[in-house]
Formats: sequence, C-alpha cells, structure tokens
Amino acid sequence: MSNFTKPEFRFQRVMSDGSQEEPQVLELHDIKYDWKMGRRGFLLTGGLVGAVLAAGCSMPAITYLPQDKQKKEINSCEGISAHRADSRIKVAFTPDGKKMISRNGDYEEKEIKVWEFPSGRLLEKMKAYGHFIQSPTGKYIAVNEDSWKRKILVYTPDGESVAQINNKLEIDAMVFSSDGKILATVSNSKLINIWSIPSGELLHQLKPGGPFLGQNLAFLPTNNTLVSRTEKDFVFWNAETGEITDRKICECKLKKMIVSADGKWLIGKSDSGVLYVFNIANSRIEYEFKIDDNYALSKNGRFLAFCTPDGYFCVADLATGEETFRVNVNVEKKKYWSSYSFAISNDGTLAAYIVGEKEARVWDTSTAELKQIFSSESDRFYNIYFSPDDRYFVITNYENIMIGDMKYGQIIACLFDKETVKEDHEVTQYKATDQYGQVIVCTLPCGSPLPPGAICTCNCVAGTYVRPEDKEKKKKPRRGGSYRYCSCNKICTCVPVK
Amino acid sequence: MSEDASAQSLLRQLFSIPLEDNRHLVYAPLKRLAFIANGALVNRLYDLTVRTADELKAETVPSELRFLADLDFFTPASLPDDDLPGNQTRYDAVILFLTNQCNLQCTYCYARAGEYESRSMPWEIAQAGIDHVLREMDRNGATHFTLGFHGGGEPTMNWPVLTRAVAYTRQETDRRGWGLSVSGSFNGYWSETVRRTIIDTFTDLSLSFDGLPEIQSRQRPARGNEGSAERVIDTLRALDEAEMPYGIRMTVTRQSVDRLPESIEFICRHFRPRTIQVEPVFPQGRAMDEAIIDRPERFIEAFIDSYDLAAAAEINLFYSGARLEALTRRFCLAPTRALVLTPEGDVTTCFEIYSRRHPHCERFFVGQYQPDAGFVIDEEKLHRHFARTVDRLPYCEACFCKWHCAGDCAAKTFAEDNGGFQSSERCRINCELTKYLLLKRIQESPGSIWLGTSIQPEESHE
Repeated sequence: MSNFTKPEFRFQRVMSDGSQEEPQVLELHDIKYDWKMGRRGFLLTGGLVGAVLAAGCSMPAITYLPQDKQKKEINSCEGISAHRADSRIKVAFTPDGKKMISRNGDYEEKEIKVWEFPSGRLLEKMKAYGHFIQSPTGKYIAVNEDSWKRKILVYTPDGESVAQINNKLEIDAMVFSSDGKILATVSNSKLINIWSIPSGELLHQLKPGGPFLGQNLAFLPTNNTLVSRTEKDFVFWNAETGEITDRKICECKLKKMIVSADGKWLIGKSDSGVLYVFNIANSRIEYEFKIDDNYALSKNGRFLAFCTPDGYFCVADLATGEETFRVNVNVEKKKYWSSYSFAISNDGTLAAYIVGEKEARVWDTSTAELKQIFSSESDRFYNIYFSPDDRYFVITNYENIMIGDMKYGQIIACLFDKETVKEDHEVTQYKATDQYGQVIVCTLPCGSPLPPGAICTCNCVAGTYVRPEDKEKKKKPRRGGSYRYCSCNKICTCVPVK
Repeated sequence: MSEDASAQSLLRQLFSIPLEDNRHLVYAPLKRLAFIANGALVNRLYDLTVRTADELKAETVPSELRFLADLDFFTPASLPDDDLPGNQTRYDAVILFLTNQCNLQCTYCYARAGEYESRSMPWEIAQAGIDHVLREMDRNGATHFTLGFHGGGEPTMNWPVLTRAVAYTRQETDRRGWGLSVSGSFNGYWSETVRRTIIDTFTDLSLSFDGLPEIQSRQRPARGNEGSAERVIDTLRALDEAEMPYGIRMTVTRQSVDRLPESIEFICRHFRPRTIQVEPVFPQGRAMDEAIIDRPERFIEAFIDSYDLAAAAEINLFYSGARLEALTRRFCLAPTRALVLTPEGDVTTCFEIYSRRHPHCERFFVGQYQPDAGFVIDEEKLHRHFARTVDRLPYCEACFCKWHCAGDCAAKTFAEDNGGFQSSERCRINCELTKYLLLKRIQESPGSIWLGTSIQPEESHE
C-alpha cells in the first residue's frame, strides 16, 4: 500500500467567502449531500467522486423488449413474495415439470415450498433447514431438519412425510440413487451411510479408509452404483451390498462431484479452479476447463456452461470438448460478484446469464444470437433457471420467484405465499391462460396493468365477507388461515391478503 | 507561554474542513466543539485567533461572536493526557492467542489460519501468563481481571486450554475477591457444547459475522467450502436468547461493500448485538487484490448508508478509525494494560501480529516466555513501541482526526523506514467518517453547535 498525501486541515483563511457575506453559523439540513470533502483536505488526491444519487424513486416496471420490438410491460413483483427475504431462493423442478420446489436460506422460515408449475399455485410447505435434494424419479425430497444436520426428513412432493433418519454424525452431503430407493450420506469426510427409503433403515456403513474427500458423493444413473472420492481415485460401490466394485485412478482434486444424466461423465471442480471432466468408460480425464466458481450441466448431459476467470460466459460441448459459445461478461461479473448466476437449457440450446442483478440475457448457444433481455429497475435478479420443457424461465431473488415465458419474454407470474406478508397487505390477483393453454395464477402489486381476459380470483372485497357463524348456512368457501369467508367476487381489484 | 506562542497553539488546535458550497466545518477537537461556518465567519475567526492573547480577551471579541468566546473557543486547551505515564505498563488483563488453527477458511484471513503447521498454546504458557498478570495486579492495586482470547486462529480450537484458563482464572480471582471479565473474538462456528459453555462462562464477546447469509458463507466458508452462515446464525440466536452482551465484527470486501446496508439491516432485524464494527478488508494474509475495496469512497458511502439503519435499531455501528468519543495520543491501549501472548509464548504488542511468520514480528514482539525465567521483556523495544504517539507523527500534525484516530493502528501503518510510519487509504476513511459523525452530531445539536464529551479508548483491534 502506497503512502497517501498528507491531510491538511489547518485553520486558515479561505478565498471564496464572498465579500458581501455576513459571518454565519449555518444549519445542516441534509448530511447526505454534505459528507464529502470540499476542495481542500487531502491535497493532490485528485477529483471528488460523483454526485450522490438522489433519494426516492418510483416503482419502475419490468420491461421486456421482444424480438418484434413491440414493448410490453407488467409491473414489478415487488411486494409479492414467495419466501421471506434473507437469502437467495433456489428452485428445482420435478422431472415431469409439473411441480417446482423452492427454498431460501432464511433461518426463521425453515421450510421448503412446493408449487404447481407453471400455474404458480402454492401446494405444500414442509419443514426443512437449508438445502434439499430430490430423487431422480421425483418421488422423494430429502432435507435436513435443523442446522446440526444429523436428522434427515424425507417427503414426497405432495408433502407426505415418509421417513426420518437419525444420523449420529453431522452430514456433509447426501444423494439419492437413481430409483430413489437408497439414500447415501457422508459424515466427517470418512463415513458413508446407506439408508433404505422409505423405511429409513440403515443398510450399510461404508468406511473408505485413507484420505477421503467429503461432499463428493454421486450415484450412477443406471444402477445403484455409488461413487465416492479419495485424493487419488474414484471408488465405486455397490450400494445394495456395501462392497467396492471398482476403483478408477484420477489425480484430480475435485469438489462437489456430479455424474452426468447419461452416466458418461464424472465432473467436479478443484480448489485451483480447474473443472475436470472424467470419462468413466475409459478412466481418464477427457477435458479440463479453467473456470471461475460454478458450472452448470444441461439435463441431457452434453453441454457444460461456466464462466472463465477472465470474464467470459461459455458453453462447451462434451461430445467434442469444444467451446460452442462464448460471450464477454467481464464488466458485469466483476462489478456484481455477488449476483453472478447462469443456467443452461435442458437441451443446451439456450444459455442464460444474470447481468448485474438487474438484467437477464438469454442467448442461442449455436448462433450466439441474443434472444431475450429481461430487465428490471426495482426487482433484483439473482438466480435463473429453465423449466424442464424449456418453455419457461424462473428468476429468483431473496423473496420473489418470477415465472417468465421464454418465447415472448414476459414475466407472467409472481409466486405468492400470503404468509410472507402482513395481513392487509394488498394485492391484485387474477387468472390468465398462456399461449400453451396453461392457467396461471397471477398475483401482482396493486395498480399493475391487467391483460385482456384476466379472470379474477375470489377476491374478498368489502361487502362480501360472511361472518363465521353464518358459515354452515351460506356454505361459502373458506379462505385458509382466516376466520373470514367470502363469496367469489370476480372483480379485479386490490384486496387485502387474508 | 508567550502571547504569540499562545495564538500559535490555539491555531494548531483548530481545524477547518471544507464542505461544498463555501461552507466549512470548524472543529476544535480538544474542546469537542464543532459547527458549520460560511467563509466570512472562518476568516473572521482566523483573524481573531491570530491576535495576541490580550487582544483575544472576551471584551475584544465582537458581540456577534461572543457566544463562541463563552464556549472558550478562543482559549487554547490542554492536550490529552498520555494514557501511559512514564511509559510503564499497568497490567490487569491477559490476552491469549490459543491457536493458529481454524474451522473456517475465510477468504481474507489476515493470519492465513489453518495453512501453517499447527501451533496451539500449551497450558503451561497460558497459566504462566495468567499468573504473571495476577502478580502484577497484586503490585499495582488493580482489582478487576480481564481474560481474553484472540488471534491467529479460532480460540475454541484449543478447547482444553480455553476452558482450563477460564476455570483457573475464576478460581484465582474469586480467591482474591476480584472482579473478572472473560471475553474474546470468535467466529461463532461452534458445536452446541462450545456454544453453551461460552454463554455460561464468558461475560461478553465479539463475533465475526459478515451479514447477509450468502455473504457470510461466501467470505467465511467452513472447511470444505461449506457455508458457515446457518451455524453462526444459530450461535447469534443463542446469544440473544441468553441475553449475552456481544458485538459483531464485519469485514467488508470489494464484493460485499455495496451490500453493506442490506447486511446491517439483516443483522438489526434478526439479532441484538450491542455494537457492529465494520472494517474494510486490509491487504494482508489471504486477502487478495480483488478483495480489496478499490475506492475508499465505496466503503465510506456504504457506512453512511448503513449508519442510520443501525441507529434506528439502537445498535452502535462503528469503524475503528472514526472514534469521535476518544481524545487520545494512542490508537490502541492494549499493550499498556494487557499481556498479549502468542501460541509460542511470544509477547506481542498488537493483536494482529500473531506469530513469528508475520513480517513485522521483530518490531512488535517485545518478549518471550522462558520456562525457567518466566516472561522476559525487552524493555527498550517495549518503550520504542510506546513512543509512537500521534503528537510525534508529522503526517498527522494538520489533521482534525489526530486526537481521535491517534495515527491509526500501528500494525497497519508500520513502515521499516520513514520514521516507522506510512499512511494508508484508511486515513482517508478515518477523516471522512469522522467528519460524517461530526456532521451528524451538529445536525442533532440545538443551535447547530456541537459540544461533546469524551471517553478513553480501550484496546483497539480492527
């Protein structure tokens, strides 16, 4: 660190006081505009930083510019929250694409949520802490019960609790077998437990011995072969018998290992930022890519998306090892380190990148054509996902889950859990049918423009409440969590959340 | 003092800090008096202060400025007392750096904890340190002992010595009828047993936590790159439930600086710390170039944007270099009152100089534990360290912050040459944030003139 110019604040005459001015002690109105040094202070330290942003702002809209250049707008999802804020929301889809599971790391919320997709209807909430994993068949979801990570809860996507597993040690990682009938956990980087699902019975305890790298655990997609990792090799286990069936040497210190859906590749990243792609069939590292942090694999197992340390967003074809797509995102990535996120579509033809929390861009990976730009002044974009059929995209931040239509590039729904807001928080709700015939439940901030044909849901507006004691007589539908009942008033208007 | 000397002395105690639009913050730190003046008033005051003492008698002050004379504005003040009269230590605390091992792998760790060969303080050294301070207190008459844990690694990684030190010190202070404070700086990534024991046996503590869970997990990952947020958050909740007094210490990197207000808001919403200390990451240890905040203004703006958020929650948000409450010649009083020991038994004068691997250890290590002789202190070295007071730093002579930051942290401004001092970007942050705090006080003061009170700094480590 270099030396800096000496501070100079000696009391002295000033030159720009104005000859007609009376000496005055001045009041201070707005510190925001006053804190920066004037001309003198640190001599020779160069110019001052630019002006402070003016306070206050309107509520801008999410803006989409489709390819036909015809501008369409819907309002922001601000205030329409799916989770309580505090941590980025992550989502995953069931294999049939009909449900979406979401969670955020809010330590108070402690639950995962299952949504009907793409309608956006909240189906279930289940107790959970932190991450969740889903079996490849989509039949089970496993979560930690609390931060001690010793107790695993296993649910179905319908919210049914099917198993509780008590592990004596803290669990570093867990993974389902391809058929979902076996759950493997690893603790203290040295002990693998094999559990039967849904019985929760402990089948085997595997002790790899020697230096063992925790968090590296994966099942091959075609059978119950479990792969773990030592410093020097991959260890293949028959999870049903608990026996080692094979070892494949690989001098690659990788972490967070995954197996591609086609069972061809073992992929993981080293501490030094090298992404290794290990060919299981011929037992050798087929490709290496220098990457910055995360990577994503297309569902078909062929395309790998990653960012390079020098700021390029790339897609590589694992059939050839060649990069098929590359775009410079350096400026945005450096500036917005904390919001850097990307995704690749299931067939690898589309790649999406969040640019600076405010913009998501989608490219055609074969032509490098920029297909879509979604931007927002008020909603932050943190994570982006493609739906299993690639028709929809999902953008999340700390509290919002936004579903967008990929073809027309519009946000079509903001998912909403009324328990995340205070009572009397007002929203507009309606149903709409999208281009694929899907009925979408739209919950939007008051004042949002409504599309033609919007069908409003049963809105509890003034004059439609029915007292609880009249419930049986009138047989009105009850709204969950409330003692208030309403008739279905198909008026699109702002109503308090009840 | 001659009259001219008196005027010069007064002038040296006054500062004017230019604001925008021909406004100036006039500050007399030794009187803790501040207000905003237009240029005409600055010039009028300057003309008065360069007069002789006789001319400066209250009667000669124009009536419109008499209110300042009534506040003793035109009279030189005495300088702050030296907190270390005679350069003699007066120990009533021992600070133990128990280990260089850590269960986190913070991306910016100043000590590169966990990267080097494991060093843990043996009980023999810990006990010798405690006994040494107990004997010193028997001599100097102090009756309140402070046991602290800090440095290099996570103190709870040397759990047997930590718990034994607490029990032993409590036994010894109870036997003497003295008070005892048990404190320390920790990462909070604890097991339930550790958490419960700390809550039950410590009087207060400082917890490193970087705010939003994703920032905490990203900047302070557990070994194996797993996020640390959940467990540390559980610790914070446990501290709150136990109503234990604690402070949060946040490190701000280039990547997290713009989200500092969000992080402060998150902390204020969920937890009840007494204080939140925020510090920009310092280029040392694992802190890489890309983690260093590229422009100090980014940190300053983020701090300012966060300040009122914390204040609304009645939490004191502070940064170590902007201490309006302190009037002192020394940034840190730790070595004057505390025997600070590394795992190897070296006596250090700075919490951040934690091992013999540190490039400045030769300068800051002033003694060593020897099994046969106890603590052997190099008095000359110690006095050389104590000789660093702000009134002897030419760089600071015209700075309005000099009696607050007192030349800043010695470890962060140390140079082998140039009189042992080099400035850093922290200096600009110190000035800007001190000025901001002054403006806040002025804004809150009746008549737009601030008259403050001062306290003395304790051991400062950032």
